[in-house]
Amino acid sequence: MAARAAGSIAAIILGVLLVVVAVRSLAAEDLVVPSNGVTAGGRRDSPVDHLDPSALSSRARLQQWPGSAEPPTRPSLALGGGENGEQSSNGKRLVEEWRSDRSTVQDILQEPKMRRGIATLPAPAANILVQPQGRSWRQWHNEQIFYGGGLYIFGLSLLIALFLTWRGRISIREGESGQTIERFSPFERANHWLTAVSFILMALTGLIILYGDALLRPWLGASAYAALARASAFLHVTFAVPFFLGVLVMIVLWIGQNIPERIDWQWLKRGGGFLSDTQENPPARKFNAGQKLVFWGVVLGGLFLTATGIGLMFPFFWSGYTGMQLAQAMHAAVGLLMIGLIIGHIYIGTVGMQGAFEAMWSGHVDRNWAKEHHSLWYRSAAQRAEPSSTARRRSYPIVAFASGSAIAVLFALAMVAIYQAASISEPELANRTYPRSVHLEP
Amino acid sequence: MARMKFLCDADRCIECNACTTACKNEHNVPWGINRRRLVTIGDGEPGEKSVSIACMHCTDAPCIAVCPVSCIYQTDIGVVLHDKDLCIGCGYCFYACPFGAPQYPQATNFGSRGKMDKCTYCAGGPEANGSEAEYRKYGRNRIAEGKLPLCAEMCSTRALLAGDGEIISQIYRERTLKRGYGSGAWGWATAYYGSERGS
Repeated sequence: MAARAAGSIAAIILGVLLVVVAVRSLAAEDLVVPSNGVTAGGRRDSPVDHLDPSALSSRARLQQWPGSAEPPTRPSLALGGGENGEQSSNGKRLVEEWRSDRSTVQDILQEPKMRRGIATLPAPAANILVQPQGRSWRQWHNEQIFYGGGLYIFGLSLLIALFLTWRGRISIREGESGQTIERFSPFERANHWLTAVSFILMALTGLIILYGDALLRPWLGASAYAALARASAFLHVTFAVPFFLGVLVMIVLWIGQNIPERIDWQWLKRGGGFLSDTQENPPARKFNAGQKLVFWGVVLGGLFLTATGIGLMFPFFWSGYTGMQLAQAMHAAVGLLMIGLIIGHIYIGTVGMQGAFEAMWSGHVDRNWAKEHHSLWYRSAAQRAEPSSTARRRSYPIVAFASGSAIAVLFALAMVAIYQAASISEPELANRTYPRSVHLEP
Repeated sequence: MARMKFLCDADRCIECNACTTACKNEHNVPWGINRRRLVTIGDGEPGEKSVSIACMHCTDAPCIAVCPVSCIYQTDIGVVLHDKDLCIGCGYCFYACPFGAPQYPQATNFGSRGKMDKCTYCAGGPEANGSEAEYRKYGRNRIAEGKLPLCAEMCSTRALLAGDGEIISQIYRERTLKRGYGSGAWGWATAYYGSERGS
């Protein structure tokens, strides 16, 4: 009953969030307006505040030939710094004004299309003059993926909360037997937690990079949020390595038991027996069809995210604009899909089903749970294993979890060291980027 | 208020690269950072055109829209500037920019590509106008001195025009009428009107 009550409360909250996101996505106008400085507590900046408004215009007329313009008015304040400006209150009107002269310049506008040439610079993509597709990528980034991700994650969570309200926690029908059987070895569990810790950290940091600007920055302020975003980007990259390692080990450990079979189809058709207490559960081996879907989702999604992630770490190394834009958009989209998959996985492994969490935590599941959900696996495993009710206590579940997490952190730290060695140090970069000496005229 | 734009008259550009050199010199731009560059279209063929390109200071600028830390902003005269203290070097602005304007001190993305650098329309950054801190990070602030970008002001053939969009498009139009031809305002459709929906 408590589970159903929690489910209904969660469903109400998620329903409200879903409506908020849906309304915002419909009302969204992705338009950039002049703000004269960064928003959320940044410095105000308007370089022309103290200027006579006609100064720049008369200067522009000097470019006419023959030069017929009057000498430009002297700026009232030269070097030395004027007052910084206030945020423009009518930015949207300004943008409309800027666009309104389109008809008057129609005669000199060209067809907006990709234009390539040659450039003498060794920089990537330097030979491309115009790539109007950047604006399409921006639209995908700011609209389809941004709001699609919100609708997908809240929508999926709402479905899960509604399921919990309707079905309650799936219990072991015959009750706990008190006798356990080993389901996952300490090595399997450590590897699971290694992958899980890395994935959750990458999911959170990825969500910060995608949504933090809209959700956190107004609360944190510009500088604090920039520091958080920088840390997020760095953690996202470092934990990719233990995650990839975990996925590789997972493939080796579990791929043999995750090949799709005929009984998986039966399992799916009967909803895994999740839908009612009275119906007999469909038979399953060590992994049922739902778990196989999670396995293949994690393996294929994880490999795809690793591949596109490496592509993004070395920009323009393997591909041009289209490839980079596609890689970024697909990385975000597949990452969001995987976050949804893992939300479902975490739900059924903890709140959703009695006895399921023990499988990955202590490695030992109740015999009645095994009989009900993995009948075929239980039949063969029970013959091999000795009945034991104390095994769960002796398995030190925290050890597998802690060692998995520790390995994730160790690999991340190793990657930090490698990145530090491979990238240019901050002081050296400062010398490369900024001039050593400054010659300001008095 | 005046709306600042760049216009490169490709029929006049002689690919001398003086604009890129002037930019590097004026702002003390380091190696590997190219705020302005020249692209030659149809090199060696009849109708070859060279175009000088930098940040076009777009209307509804895509770089500002995609920046995950909102460190880029536009001012009332249309100039797009950014705050290097906030930049995390993610490189998104380069994917969004139609003109390849954003530049990074580091090539790879080991966490960060360093602080992004780009053409400031000779208008510095968020620090006090004309201050040393501003000069060190963004280069000279000519706009605050009542001057236009140096690349355009020193262009020997007057191919590169800078200033109020109305004035420079008028100058360009008078020219093309007088000489009878012109290849148009390169990049304007994308930069200043590109995101207008349904057109």
